[in-house]
Amino acid sequence: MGMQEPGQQLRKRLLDRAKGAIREKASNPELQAIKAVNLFGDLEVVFNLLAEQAIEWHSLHFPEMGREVRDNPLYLKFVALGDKKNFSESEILKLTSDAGLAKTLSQKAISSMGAPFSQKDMSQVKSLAVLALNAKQEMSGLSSYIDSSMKEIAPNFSSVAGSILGARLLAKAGSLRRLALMPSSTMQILGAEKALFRHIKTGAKPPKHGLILQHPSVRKAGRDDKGKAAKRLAAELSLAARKDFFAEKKIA
Amino acid sequence: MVQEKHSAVFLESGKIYTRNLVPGKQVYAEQLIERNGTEYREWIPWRSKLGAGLMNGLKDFPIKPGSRVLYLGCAEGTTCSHLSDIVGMNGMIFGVDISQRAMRKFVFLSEERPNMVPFLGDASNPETYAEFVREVKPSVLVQDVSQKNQSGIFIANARAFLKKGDWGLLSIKARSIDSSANPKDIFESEASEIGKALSVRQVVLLRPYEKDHALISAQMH
Repeated sequence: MGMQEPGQQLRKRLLDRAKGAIREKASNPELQAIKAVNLFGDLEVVFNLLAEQAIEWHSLHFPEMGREVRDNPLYLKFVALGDKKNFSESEILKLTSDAGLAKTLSQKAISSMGAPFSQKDMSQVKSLAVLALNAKQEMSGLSSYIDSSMKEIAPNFSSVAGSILGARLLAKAGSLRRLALMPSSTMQILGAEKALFRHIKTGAKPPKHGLILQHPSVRKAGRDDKGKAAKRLAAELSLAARKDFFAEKKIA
Repeated sequence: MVQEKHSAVFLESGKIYTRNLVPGKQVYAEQLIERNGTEYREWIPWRSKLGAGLMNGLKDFPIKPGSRVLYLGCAEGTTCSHLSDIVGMNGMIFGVDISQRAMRKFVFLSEERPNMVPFLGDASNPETYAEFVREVKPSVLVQDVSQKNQSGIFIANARAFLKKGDWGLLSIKARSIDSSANPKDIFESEASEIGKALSVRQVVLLRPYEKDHALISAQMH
């Protein structure tokens, strides 16, 4: 059959069919959660880059602040205050409830060794800080979005893993179906592919954990218990994923 | 000057080309050139395993004007677009891929090229597209799927759709089969696996265009 009439009829039929099949596959809510968690990871990186630059730049003007404020989002809010002349106790207290910090900062602002900034300089730094804070805010909205999506897609799995980690594992596996069907030993090292292949190729030590390391029960385990904690969590995650995929009932 | 190499593949200063079925339209990052009023598309071997096979001395190239081709693992259609150029309006390319992401582009391409047909599906389940492929009656099977049992998939499809004398071209990715074994051993064992159902004619290594890949050509007996 060439591309004459019967061939064209078949082609039109299959074009429609392919479009329908694509639409059906793309309608899977798992894809929304995967896109969101991928974005979340990128925003995390973007926030850290922007925050680092904003803080570094503002520290030319007010270097003393870096020793007092360790929390990046709070630091950025202070950067948004702009010139150190604005660092009065009352202004600082609008951004933090820490009275001791407000007192120290306002004193250090007066005797600061930092360079004076022109208005032009300062407005650049301030807008950079605002951009970074906006990224942070976007992350928190995204985080609640991921949380509610994951609770619908995989309630048991995400209650064991936590929503963000759960979504990351889902993204790595590609689908809830694959998460449910994979061996728990694969779940354990999902995200540690580089180390796994190094192990297979060169006989180096196998990885104990992949993404799963982000879970508090693994992260907080002692050095000698990390592998055990990872194995245990992976087993629980496998059970939960299977329950979600095959039974759709919340038990965890 | 452009010169014919295989039946509708053209050669000029070390590069291969196909005659553009849709003049003026570029499909990927390939160059379009005009010779004597005809537009040709450069077939970039770095982007296409079949193109790499041709560059590396594939002897029998069964895809000719009028051929009907079943292409498993068509992805976005980079290679298929050249096959579509070659088979022309009397031929047909039936493309199967499992990824909706890739199939999206393939659908766009099929809308532009009246000899291409898309199918979103799994090449390891030939029965899902068998009724349509039987209407097409392909005489060539091309497969590029990067799956562990790629030879099994190839044989199942060849048995389902090819007749005696028909050709199959299979791209083997050694790393999909065993990430630690020696690629040469894998190519050998895959070729002997294929040899149980078809007669293997040639095994072409795709270096330097692809790492640890080979193209196997085989014929139904």
